[in-house]
Amino acid sequence: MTKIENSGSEVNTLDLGISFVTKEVPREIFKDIQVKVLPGEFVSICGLSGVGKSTFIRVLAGLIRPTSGAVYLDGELVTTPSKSMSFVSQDYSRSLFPWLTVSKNVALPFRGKGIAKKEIQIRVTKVLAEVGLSDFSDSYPWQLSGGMQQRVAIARALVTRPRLLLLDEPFASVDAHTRFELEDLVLNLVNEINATTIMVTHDIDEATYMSDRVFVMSGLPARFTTEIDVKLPKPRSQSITRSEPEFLSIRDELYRGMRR
Amino acid sequence: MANNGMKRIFGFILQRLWFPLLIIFIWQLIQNKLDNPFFPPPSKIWESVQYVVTPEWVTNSLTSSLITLLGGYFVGSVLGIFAGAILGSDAIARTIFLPITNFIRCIPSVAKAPVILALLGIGLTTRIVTVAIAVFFPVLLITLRAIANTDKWIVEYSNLLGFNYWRALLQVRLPAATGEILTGLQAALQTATLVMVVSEMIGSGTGLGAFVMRSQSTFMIADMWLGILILGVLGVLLNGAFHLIEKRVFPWYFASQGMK
Repeated sequence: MTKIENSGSEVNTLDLGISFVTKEVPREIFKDIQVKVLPGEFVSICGLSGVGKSTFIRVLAGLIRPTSGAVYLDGELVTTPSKSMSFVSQDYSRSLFPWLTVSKNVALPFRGKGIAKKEIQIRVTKVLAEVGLSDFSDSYPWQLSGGMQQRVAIARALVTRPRLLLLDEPFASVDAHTRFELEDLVLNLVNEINATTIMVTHDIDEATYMSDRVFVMSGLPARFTTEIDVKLPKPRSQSITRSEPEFLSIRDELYRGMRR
Repeated sequence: MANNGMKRIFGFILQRLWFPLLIIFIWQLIQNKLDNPFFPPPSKIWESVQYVVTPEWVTNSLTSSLITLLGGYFVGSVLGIFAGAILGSDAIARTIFLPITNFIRCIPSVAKAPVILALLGIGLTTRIVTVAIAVFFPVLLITLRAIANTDKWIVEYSNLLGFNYWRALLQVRLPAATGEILTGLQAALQTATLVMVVSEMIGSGTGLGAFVMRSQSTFMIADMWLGILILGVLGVLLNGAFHLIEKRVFPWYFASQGMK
């Protein structure tokens, strides 16, 4: 098979803001967020719980309409989830369908898209091999461990070869060792298909380790208060990268940025 | 193998039936002391089997009852699931139809029977409709709740996939509600049996309900008991059949819940 040339999407937000109308006054979650993410870039957004990270990434995904401002994907206004975008949420075990086998779960994004069964099968087999779950294609998600379930969710996100991958605290519910494994897995696979990736996380180590650029989201209403370019050498390595002086200084800067 | 099968059946009977058999045995033993015409001994009820159970009786009472029960149960369940799914997933439909649905639901089935009788006259159709209506409302209600409370991550994922209303309902929300709907269907089976008997007791001359009433009013007490016991056995068999079918059709549900 010839390798399909792929390029990441460019993401632009313009004065993005969201507010919920409560009984008395509208409560602004975040406002005036302007960010431009370049094709193929890996950008993380760090923030404390409740700061509005999850809402923000759902606005990017087109799942929630912003109350002000706009999101552009390759210059086009985002109003609904784009076909070239995939989304991985924190609660993998609840977004996988328990009535479908692993391979059928992974094939879900192709449903109703008029793609030949054989083509779907080839793609599913390939992506399951990439995440190391070839032997589990006929298992059900609830028969697998948490880390394996998140691999299924990652496979399901990557099977369409998305140009934009959105990750909402994707490794928050797995143990530390599995988390390292999954971080490297995602980095490799994203690099291979050259997708643009935006991840929200409260874990500053994870953000530093994986990203090209990290933002800190804080305040009420929240804004992007800190921006750091991560120039650590690639490919990243769990043991080497994490002990580089620059890693530690970025981590420190992020920590102080989140407290501010 | 056959020997093994026999052993299993025998073991099953020993495990589950020894207590009921003991009660029948004691009932027979104390018949002289009881000496109450309304509690004939089991031997007398067994005697009545021999002259009551004729081909004609099977057609008029047993088969007729089964058709009423299964026909009404099937129609009521299918329509109940359908209406519940629509009302559970569509807020506008709920606003329009839920109040009237609740009003009709709150009128006891037995009180609805005379209206149906007046509209459709005495006959099989009337009995089937009476059972169907009694099954329809509880199945509708439980389906409505299950569909309205579909896990938000599952709903979000079907939004991400760009599923339209019907695809999301049929391929995501209904399968996600499998457990609740099965519970509702099982409970409705009891309701169906109850209403079947009542519908046969009023007006119609056919069915097990009518047979019990007729036997009682003509002081054929052993026959009456036979009818009651057959209704009991029928209920147990239907419940067993329900379990076998649900496990055959939804094996993933029971396995995922760790249930046998």
